[in-house]
Amino acid sequence: MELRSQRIVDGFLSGMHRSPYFGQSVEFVQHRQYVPGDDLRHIDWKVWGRQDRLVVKQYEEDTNLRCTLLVDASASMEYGRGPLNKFDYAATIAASLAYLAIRQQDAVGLTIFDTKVRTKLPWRSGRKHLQSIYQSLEQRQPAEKTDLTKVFREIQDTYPKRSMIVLMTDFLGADASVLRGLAALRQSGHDCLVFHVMDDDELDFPFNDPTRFEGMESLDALACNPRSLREGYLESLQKFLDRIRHGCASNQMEYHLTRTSRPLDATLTAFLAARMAHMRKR
Amino acid sequence: MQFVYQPLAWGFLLVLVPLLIHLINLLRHRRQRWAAMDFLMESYRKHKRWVWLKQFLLLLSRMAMMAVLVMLLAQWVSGSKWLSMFGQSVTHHYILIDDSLSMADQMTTGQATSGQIQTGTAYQAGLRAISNLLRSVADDSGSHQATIFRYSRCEPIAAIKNTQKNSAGDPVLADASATADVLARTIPSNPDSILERLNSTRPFALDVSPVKAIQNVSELISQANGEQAVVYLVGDFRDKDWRQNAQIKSALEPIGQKNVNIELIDCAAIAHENLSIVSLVPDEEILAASVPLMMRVEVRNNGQTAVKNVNVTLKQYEFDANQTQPRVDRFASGNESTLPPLVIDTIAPGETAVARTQMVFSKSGSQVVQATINDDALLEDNSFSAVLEILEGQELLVIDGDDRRMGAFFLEATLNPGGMTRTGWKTRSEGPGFLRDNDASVLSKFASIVLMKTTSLDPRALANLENYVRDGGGLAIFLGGNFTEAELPKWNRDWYRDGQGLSPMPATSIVELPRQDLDSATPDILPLPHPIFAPLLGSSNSPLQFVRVSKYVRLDTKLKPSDAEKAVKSQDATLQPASELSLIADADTDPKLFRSAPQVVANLRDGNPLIVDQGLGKGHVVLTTIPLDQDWTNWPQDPTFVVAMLKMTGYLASFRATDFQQRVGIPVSWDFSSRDYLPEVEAILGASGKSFIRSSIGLIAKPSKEPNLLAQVDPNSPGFTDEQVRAALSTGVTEFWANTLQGNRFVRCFARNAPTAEGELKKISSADLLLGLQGLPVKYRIADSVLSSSALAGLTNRQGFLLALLIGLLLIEQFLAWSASFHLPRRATA
Repeated sequence: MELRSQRIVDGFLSGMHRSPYFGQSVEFVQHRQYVPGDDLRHIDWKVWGRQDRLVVKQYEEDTNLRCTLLVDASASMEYGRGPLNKFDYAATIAASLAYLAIRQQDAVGLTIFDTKVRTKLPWRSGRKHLQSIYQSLEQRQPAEKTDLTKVFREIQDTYPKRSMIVLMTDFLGADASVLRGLAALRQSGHDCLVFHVMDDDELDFPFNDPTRFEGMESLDALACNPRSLREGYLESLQKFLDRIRHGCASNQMEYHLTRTSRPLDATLTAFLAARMAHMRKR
Repeated sequence: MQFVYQPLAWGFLLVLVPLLIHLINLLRHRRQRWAAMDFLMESYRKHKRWVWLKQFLLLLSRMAMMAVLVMLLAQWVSGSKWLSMFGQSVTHHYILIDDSLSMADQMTTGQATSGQIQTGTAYQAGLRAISNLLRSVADDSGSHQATIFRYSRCEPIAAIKNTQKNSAGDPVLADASATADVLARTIPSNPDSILERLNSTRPFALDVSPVKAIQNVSELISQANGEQAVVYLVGDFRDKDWRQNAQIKSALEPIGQKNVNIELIDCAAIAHENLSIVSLVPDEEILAASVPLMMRVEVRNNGQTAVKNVNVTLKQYEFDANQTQPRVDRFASGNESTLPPLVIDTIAPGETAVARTQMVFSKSGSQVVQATINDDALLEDNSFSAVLEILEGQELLVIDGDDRRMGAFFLEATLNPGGMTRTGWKTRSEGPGFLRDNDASVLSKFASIVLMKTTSLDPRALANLENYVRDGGGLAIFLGGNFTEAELPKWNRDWYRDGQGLSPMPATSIVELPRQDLDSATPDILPLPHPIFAPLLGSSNSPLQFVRVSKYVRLDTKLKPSDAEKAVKSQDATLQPASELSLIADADTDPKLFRSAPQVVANLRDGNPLIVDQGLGKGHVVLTTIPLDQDWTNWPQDPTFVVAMLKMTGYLASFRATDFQQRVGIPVSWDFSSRDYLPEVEAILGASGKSFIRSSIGLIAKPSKEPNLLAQVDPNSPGFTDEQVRAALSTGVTEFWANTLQGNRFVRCFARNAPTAEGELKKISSADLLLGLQGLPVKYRIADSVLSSSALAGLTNRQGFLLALLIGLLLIEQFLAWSASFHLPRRATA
């Protein structure tokens, strides 16, 4: 994991970056409409006095990044017929991002979850912390179902300070409430990024022979001719993907649908390129 | 359900194979742990019913395919009527079998269904072919009917149709199907039950054309609605019948125009060598008891190679007064005696050889002569019989115009020489008034009439004389004597009548024939080939060299070509029915109206005719241009005169004799006087082939021309049983046994022989046969192949349907498989 992540990251990072987060600083950036939950200390009372409306002041923070990596370790993440299953793929992305952040003196936290949080590492930087992250990711085996709503609620409590939350999951087994949980995280001020990790098989459903499909997170089983159900399956899947993508977009989250067959460096490059573009736009 | 290969029916168990594969596939599903079960289950719930339905239909189609495949391989031959929904409702098989004499050709081939070589006649091969045909038809699916005709059975009904007319004058259509031997609305699987009667039949000694039978079938087909017809002609396809087949083709054309298939089934695979006796007749001379006569036998070689040393056995059956009961176990009831055999050295292919022998019948009455040769392929034409009506003596009427009755002196002296010598003639000399006072019924008692020095006759006498000739009498006219040139115009007006009278030619003048030396090489009389001078021909020195003719009546020989041509045509038209078999007399032709072209029998030295012969009605007129008078000729003193006169009178008398060689099929009739015989008559019919147990039929003679009665054996009589019809159409001798009013037994015989043309067994090649029927939907095959090919034909239709069904099921299966997404997408298969 360590080698894989370092090898992926090395070679394309320049070492410097601007924090994507707004924090306390001396350099004022702009006013923003007050929303409930904003720190009252940031309200610009002068504006309130003059204009009778509540706005908060925003400053450019030139401080270390706090990055929270959320890795789904439910049973469905174990699926994969390529060299990496979904969990391995997600863990490698997580490790790579951790390595990248720590190398830039940023703080990284890690949460591995299924129905509940199984592993939780606080924000820290430093080589030892990175090793802990590697170790946690390597030791975890996918199991159990997924309960993202519950996990999001717990994250909200665990990481009250705003951070960049990077979620790596397949969203399988998640119901509609998962989007509300994501919205809540976003409303808490977290900058949320989503890596929707899917295997090629799940996206293309290439099965031809009579197959008995057995659920990885449920006891459901279905013996069928896959070709006869392929069309309906892809139709349902596409609706699901559209719903997730739409939910992320409506909550201003970056969404990356990632195939496990895609090279990891390409995935990271695309992610960082999109991220930099996003920063410049801000 | 039946199959050609019944054991293959076990293959229907293969129907379970798709089901088995389906079940096995259910068991051998690949196990796959799957994360996105929600989407899969959603898809499954959405399409579950359609997927099941398609899979069920797919399974059914695959099972049906297996079933059809097995039916195809096992050759399904039994089925209900439902298949007919896909094609014609009824298939009517019209089978016409040739039962003419040539079908009695002894064949040695014939592959039976059991695989054994069978022997028998071509007719039997045809019956086997019909049986096999019906068997295969019965095994075939669909509804089938069969109607079977024999050619001979179609002849009488066709004649009825031709002659019967309703009140409006339109022909009355008889039910053509009434002539059918078999009329089967359904065909049992074992057709022998419906063929039992047909199988007992044999070919008749007839020469029957298929035209009438084809016309019958054509009519039946045109009357039938909603059926698909197939016409089979089962026969031997001889060259003589099918080489010039315009009539047959025109009869088949209406059938072909209805798109009805015509199948020619050849029962005679090969042509055999065959010898036929085509004629057995006495030479044209008087038939009288104790008077020798010459019998002439003609044998034709119908084969392809010359035949040597042909033995002809002649038997005569003489009836005498002691014989009062018929003998049904012999060819004829008379006393049999065998004559020394005749040997014909060589008969070239296609040639007819003649052999003669002298016979003497000591008794008068019906006397039977039979000639036989050794057996060959066709038995019926190896025997030939003739019945000669022998009289104690025949009366010759001499009309002598000489007042002293001396004109006929030499002739009477010739015919009645006296002593022990018998010529068979009894002469009666009368004056010309006899002809005026006696009509044809009286004149008919005379075998022939000779006119001497009779130049002028009462018109009534002329009419009586003409009627006598037209009824079959023979008339000899000796011109000259008291004849002057001044009388010639009147004579021509009365006797020639512009070609309509008794004289063959008009007389022009009386001419002197210049005398010449006795040593002269050219005799005065130059005979030509004719029965009258037959004994005097052939020698290097003419026997007539001492005969002198001083003067003669010159005849006008410049006959109009059109008249001669007409006469020849008339002769051809009239002779045709007599030489060929015809079951039906041609009512349009009256033999009494016949007039042949004049034939010169002998010329004079100067080229003018001395004797001229002309057929008139049934009789003949021989005109001699000289009288038997010393002023005109010295011929009566020459020995050749006796020969010539005996031959002439015999020749003229021969036309009143019975037709010695009538063919089978013509009703055998005996017209007799009720004043002589009782009407109860026992008819002993002929016997075919080797069988000599002859049928006997009791007849009651029907009134004929008053006071005559007519006893008749007619094969078309409705009351006749099959066996009696067969006997009536057999060759041999038919005897009518009757009782005289005085209680004595009397027998009258008639001979019936096989048609000569049927002995020609030369085959037409199948290529020529089909070429001649070009344009018609005709198929040709030999009888032995009927089973396989017709079964194949039936199977072809059936198998074609099954094949189409299989292909249809295959397409449905592929569609269902594609629809059920069992086909790999192109991307997946790549």
